[in-house]
Order: sequence, then C-alpha cells, then structure tokens
Amino acid sequence: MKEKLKKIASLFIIIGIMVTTTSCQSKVDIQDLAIVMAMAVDYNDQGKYRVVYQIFTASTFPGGSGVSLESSSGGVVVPTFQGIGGTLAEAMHDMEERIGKKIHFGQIKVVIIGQKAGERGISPIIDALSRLPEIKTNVPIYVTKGEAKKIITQKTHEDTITANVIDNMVLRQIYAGMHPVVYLAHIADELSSKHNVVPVLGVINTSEKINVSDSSIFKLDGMAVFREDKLIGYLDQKITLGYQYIKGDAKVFTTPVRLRDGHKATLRLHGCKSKIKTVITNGKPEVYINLDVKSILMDITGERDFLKNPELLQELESLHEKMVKDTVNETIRAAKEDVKIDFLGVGDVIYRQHPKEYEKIKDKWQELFLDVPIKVTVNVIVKDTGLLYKPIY
Amino acid sequence: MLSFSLIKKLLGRGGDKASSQKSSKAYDEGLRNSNENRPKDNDNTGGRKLTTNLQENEAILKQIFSNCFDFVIRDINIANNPAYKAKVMYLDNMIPQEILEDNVINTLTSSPAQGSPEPSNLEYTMSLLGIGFDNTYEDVNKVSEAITEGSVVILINGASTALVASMMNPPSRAIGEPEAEKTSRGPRESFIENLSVNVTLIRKKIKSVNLKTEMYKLGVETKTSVVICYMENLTDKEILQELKRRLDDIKIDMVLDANYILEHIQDQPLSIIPTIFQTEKPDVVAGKLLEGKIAVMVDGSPIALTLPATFSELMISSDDYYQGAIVVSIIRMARYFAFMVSLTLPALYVSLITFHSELLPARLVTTVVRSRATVPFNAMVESILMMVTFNILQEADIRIPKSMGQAVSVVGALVLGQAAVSAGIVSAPMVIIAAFAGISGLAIPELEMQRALIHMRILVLIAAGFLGLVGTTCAVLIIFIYLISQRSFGVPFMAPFCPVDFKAMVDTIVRAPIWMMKHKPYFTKWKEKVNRQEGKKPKGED
Repeated sequence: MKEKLKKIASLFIIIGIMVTTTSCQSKVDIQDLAIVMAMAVDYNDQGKYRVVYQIFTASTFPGGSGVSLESSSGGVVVPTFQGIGGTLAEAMHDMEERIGKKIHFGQIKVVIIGQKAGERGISPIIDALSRLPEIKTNVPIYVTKGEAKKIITQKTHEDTITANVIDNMVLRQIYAGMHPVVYLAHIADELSSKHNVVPVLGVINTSEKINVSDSSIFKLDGMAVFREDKLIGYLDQKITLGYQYIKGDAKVFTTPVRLRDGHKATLRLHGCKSKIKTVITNGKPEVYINLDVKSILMDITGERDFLKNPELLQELESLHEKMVKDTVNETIRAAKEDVKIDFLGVGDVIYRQHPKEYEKIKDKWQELFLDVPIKVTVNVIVKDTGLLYKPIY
Repeated sequence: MLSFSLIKKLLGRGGDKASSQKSSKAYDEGLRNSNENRPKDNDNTGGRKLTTNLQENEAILKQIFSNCFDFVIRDINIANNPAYKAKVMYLDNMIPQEILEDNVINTLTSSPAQGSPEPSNLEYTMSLLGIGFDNTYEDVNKVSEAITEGSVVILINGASTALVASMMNPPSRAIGEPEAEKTSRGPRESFIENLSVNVTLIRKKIKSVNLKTEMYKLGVETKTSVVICYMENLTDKEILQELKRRLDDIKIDMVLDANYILEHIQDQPLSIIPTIFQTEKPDVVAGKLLEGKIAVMVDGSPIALTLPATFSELMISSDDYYQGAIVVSIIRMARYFAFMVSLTLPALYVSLITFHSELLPARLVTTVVRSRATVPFNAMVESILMMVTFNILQEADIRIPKSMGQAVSVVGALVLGQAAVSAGIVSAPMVIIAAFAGISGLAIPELEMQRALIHMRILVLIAAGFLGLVGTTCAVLIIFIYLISQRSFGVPFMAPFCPVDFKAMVDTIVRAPIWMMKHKPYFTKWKEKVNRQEGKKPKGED
C-alpha cells in the first residue's frame, strides 16, 4: 500500500511539473514565426531610435519542400521591417503589429549599431537586447560607419539573407582572428564592469568595389573604441591586428615577410599565446607583454635549402618577430596617443594581478595609462616549411 | 521355456519398432504417464463405467462419438479365434496407419505363441502390446478422452476395462527456419506446432536428467497439452510453484496458442510491456532454461514462453551469442540507442520546432521553415499522422501475400511519401524523422517490445506537442516509472539496471566474452513478492 502511494505521489508530482512549468501559450509552429535574422539600430536626427529587422518567414521562399534552394539574388527579397521610437523597446514594439507573426529572436545572427547610435551610447541598446527572452548570448555585435540600416538592406550576390553573409564572415574571423568578434554577453559584461574596462566592437562596412570580378559586399574594417559606452573612434586594420596579438586572439592568417636579401616569403600564423605580466613598484605599474607565436612557411623565393641550413629558419623567425613587435608597439602607441584610452585591457590585468594596489590607482588609471611603460617581447617559432624543404625550382 | 523367450523377443521387437519409428511417441507416452500421477481436477470418478458386454460398450462409445465420421471401429478376433472378439477404436488419421496395422492388429490376430497366457485373458493382450495397468480405464469418460487425444482403444469381449495405447501422431509440418526471429548465425531450427517434437528439440540440446518436463491439460474443449520445462537444479522453486499455481487457476474453454496461456499468467494482465519472453527457437529456450528460467510450451503453438523475463532480455537477439563479443557489444549499444531514438526522436523534433526553435542551428531552421511552409497541420498532428501511416504500412506488409509484398512497400514508402511531400501535405524532415523512429523501433529483436514502443512513442509525442521539452522529459520519466514498476513473476522488469546489479550487467548493454559470463540465475536475487496480488488476476478466472 505504501509503495502504491509512493507511485501515485510521484506520478502526480510529474504531472504537476508538466502542467505548471509549461504552457501551451508558447506553442507556435516554426513556420508561423517571423524569425529575425539581423537587426540594425540607428539613431536619427529627430532624436529617435530606428530599428530595422531582416526577417525570415516561411513565405520568404514560396513553394513546398523539395523546391531547390533559392536562386541567389534572383528577385527574392528578404523582407525588412522598420520601427521608430524614443527608446529601443518602443521602436521594436512599433513594428510588431505590422509584422503580424510572432517575432522570434532566437536565431538572430548579427546586431549592427549605426555610428550615431554608437556615439549616443550603446548601453540602452545592449540592455534592451539582453532582456529579450529568446535571444542567444553569442550574437555578435558590430558597429558601422554611417547607417546600420544600409548594411542590412544591402543586397548580396551570395545569399538572399544578408545576415547569412555576415554570419559567414564572423565565423571566418572566429577561426582566423584578424578582427575582434564581440558577443552580446561579452559586451554586456564589459559595460557593467567597474574596472575601467573599455568596450570595443568590430566594425563592418560596405566595401568599395575593387573590381568587377570581386562580388564581396561587406568588409570587416578594424574596430571601434568606446569611452564609457560612447563611440569615440575607429582603429584601422593594422592596429586591430596588434590588438588581436595582445589579446592572444590572433589565430590563423598569413603575413608577408621581406627578407634581408630582397626575397619575399609568406608566413602563416598558427596560433599566438599572449602573456601579460604587470609589476608595480612604488605605485608605478610596469607592463610586460610576452607573445609566443607559431608560424608555418607558406612560400618563399630564392634558393634556400632549409634542411641543409636550419639557421635560415632563424633568420625568418627574427624577421617575423620584428614585424609582430612593430605591429604591437604601433597599437600601444595608438592607444596612448590617438584615442588616449586603455582599450588593451591592461588595467583589467593589473586589477587581476594586483587587486589591492589597483584600488589606489583605479580612479586615475586612464591618465596613468598614458605614461605606463609597456615592454613587448616576441618569440616566433617557424614550425615547418610546409611539405617542401627547399623551393622546387 | 522357448515360448517365453519368444514372447520376450516379440515384445522387445514391438517396443523397438515403436521407439525407432517415432522416438517422440514413446516419449509422449512417458509424458502422459507422468501426468497420471498428478491428481487431476477433472477426475470424474462418478462417471459411467464400462460393462463386460462388448456390444453394449460399443454402443456407448458409438453414442458418444455420434456424428463423427472419422471415428473408426474395427472388429478383430484375438489370436484369430472367433471366440475372442475385440474392437479397436480410434480417430482416423490421428494415428499412423501402418504402425497400427503392424503393431496392433497383426500382433493381436496372429496365433499365440506356446506358453503364453490364454488369449481370452486380458493380460495376454496387455503383454503383447506392452500396455501397463496405468493405461487401462473403466471410466467411459476417460476412454472417450483417450480417443480424442489420439490413442487407440481396445475393448475385449468379457472385460470391463479398455486398453489404451497412445499412438498419437497428428499431421504436422516439418521443422523449418524461424520466421519472426531472423538470425545470421547459429542454429536455424524453429519450433513447430507439435508439442512432443518441440520438447524433443530441447531434449536434444540439454541431455540432462535435471531437465524436467511437466504436463498440464488446459482448455475444457481443446484439452491442449501444456508443458512446463525447467532445470530442477537451477530453477527457483518459489517461481516454479507460483507458475504452477497460476496454471492451475486457468479456467478456459480453448487454448489455441501460447498467448492464451501468456495472458492468464502475466503479472499484470493489461500490461503493454511483454513481461514474458516469447521465442520460436529451441536454442534460445535451452539457453534460458540453463539460466534457471522456466519454459512453457503449448501444443499447437510454435512459440515457447520463458519466464521470468527482464527488459535487457528483450534487447538480446540469439545470434548475439554466436558472434564475437566486441562486435556484439557495439550492436547491443546501438540497440539501446535505437530504443531511445525510437521513443523520443519524434517528440524531440516536435518540441524543438514548436517551442524551442532557438535551440536549433540556424541553417536547420531555414530548411525546416522552408519545408513546412505549405504544411496545413501543426507539427504534432503531422507527426502522429506519419507515425500512424508508418504503422499501417508495417501492418499491411505483414498481412499481404508474399507475391505482392514488394509492390506494397514500394508504393507505400516511395510513392506515398514522395507524393505527400511534393504535395506539401507533409514536410520532408518529418518523413525522415518518422521513418527513422519507426525503423529504429524495428531494431529491437523482440516483436512484442516493438509493438509496445509504438504506444509509448505516441504518448511521448503528445506530451511534447502540448508541453515541449519539459513534457517530453516528464513523459519519458512516466514511461520509465512504468517500466520499473513492472514485475515478471516477482522479478523487477528493469533489473539489473533497477535494482542495480553490476555483476549481472555483463550481459546487458555489453556482452562479455562467453568465458567471462557465468550463467548464474541472477534474477533470483532480485525477485520480490512472487505471488500475484489479488485483483491482478485476469477476470473470469473464478
């Protein structure tokens, strides 16, 4: 009898959980959703936010299943909707009734913030995004020079859904690490930090057409630096690369090296480890950045037999070391002289390594940073020379 | 002296012939004899008795077997002497005609050897045919019963006792390959509809005196023989006793198949889970017997029941033991995986696309949305439709004549599926999901478990359709609770997973090498209350 009671009790508990923790209200078949693929946030001259959604719905691609994938750019247009409001939420609400279907943020691929909205401050935007119940925390956030709307409504040749094109570029950067990829959770974390963390975001722009045979539409274009939450400036590609080295995010990309005798070589980066060490003496911090870089030789001109002369590799290594060091020093210079803010996150490292001393210099850190000596040491190892040990010619 | 040895020779020869021609027949008689020792509940001692008058006796039996064209009465004279009249009665075709002629009619009518008892004497006939006192009846009911069972009854003038010689050999098919349990390795023979042959098939594998075979007669009209086989040294006595009790409780008109018995002796009469194992392979039964289990075999059914049964047993195919351990272990894991896939895949799909589409990869979302654009039903209804269609196709595939089998699968699977998808009534991913779940279910070796899985799958699916992933989880939990609460003759159905017994797990999800496995009867450790609770009995059993 007792066992029976136990069984019945457990059954009721399970049914109770089933009924109380779920509801049929959230039941929407996937084809009845308006799936937001990309979102652009602008701030217009009237002092209002403008939000643009790129939306994927079942009717975007008419015809049942079995119909082949869309004929790219052939007339099919992915619908976009625009809403205007005093706050971001208001702007988002503005278009809800016009879309009709239930708006679903679960699949959003990218959020793009326009320059003006960035200058106005990104905190309210990130805050509103983070509150959306379905949104994934790994949505990459990008800033664009100009209007964000332009990016989203841009037609591309590769894919009717612009968001997919951007998504591919982002995925590529996660692998390559030439540009920073900043996710929603990350930037929200930085904005709420109390330790002089300077938020940075990647920059995406429409690319100027180089020639006819190149159908690329977008390009990742360095990064944007914020003071508090307001956009204060852009950094170009080379400085961004230095930033990626310091962060240890530089992964796989190629760099050309000019040899002493005039020949050319190309090295492929194969991982970079960054160690930042801080020393505080008499309240004055010193920073040592140590980079361990591995690379592979991709091509080289001239007669060089690496098997017979392994010291040739050392020449390559020292050249590469110098290049990386120059790049990183350039970035440090830009931080100290151009934007005059510690976007490298050195302050955060000091806080982690010397929390007590940091408390004293915390308030004036950004001024202090301009005079902090930062020493960079780079150690490059050229791991191998590909499948060949000497040029085939 | 000479005549005595002659009789001995004659008897010996007769016995030899009978046993060599049909070894099973002699055995069958042994079975029957052993059964006689058991008190029968339909022992009707107050019935009519035979008289000493042959004519009268014949009239009685003729009346009992009125309107039976296959009832045969033959007049013979014992020792070819018209003074000793006798009648041989039997049902046509139930007994082998040649053996009857050679061994009964010829022996009785031939002139007596010197020194033998007087042909008028009853013992003369008994000694000639090798019939013991056990097989003589005075009760008319017993005599008629013996005739319906396929025995030859000899009535002798002046004797009030009928002599019964069991020669039962009803027509049956030859031993063939198993139809439902396809295996790629190992023995290929399967049971047939003849009980004595089936028992012999097991005897052939287990040549031990510990193998006991007890016979029951069940079914008021059919009087079907039911045999329980067990290894006396291995079987748990309590379970055996309980089985006997349950068999004794059965009151039923007919027993046409093993399932008639199965439904009566199950722990829970309305369970959708098979708590008694069914097989048509003698090697499987032999294996189970040597694990200490009990087999129940029913005359006229090519299926043997073995009990107690556990869940892990249902996931075992007999050729698991006829192939390498490593290979089989991987296949076993695949089967358990297939079980979970079959149970939950449609439910997971439905709950993901109706409640939690943010959990799907974006590329999958676009594919699914695109394929579902024109589907008029919601995902749950669509899924149930597909599930039902799959089961109808499967059911039709069993029923249709073999010559048409190919056509129906092609029409069903290809044309119907393709047409439904291109018409936009069903989405292509759903077809894949339904087909995969259905086919995964077929990877489970036990037929009854496959059927049970269909119901469980739809239950989980409905919970998923209304309540999403939480509903799926809860429904799976409910099913697990249901499975765990099942008992097979007091043995927990989910053992050795619940209760956990690591030692016994060598033959569940993995199969250890045979030298590592000691086939101890593990389940006796797990068994709880063996007695079936009152109220759990099938109704109409009192």
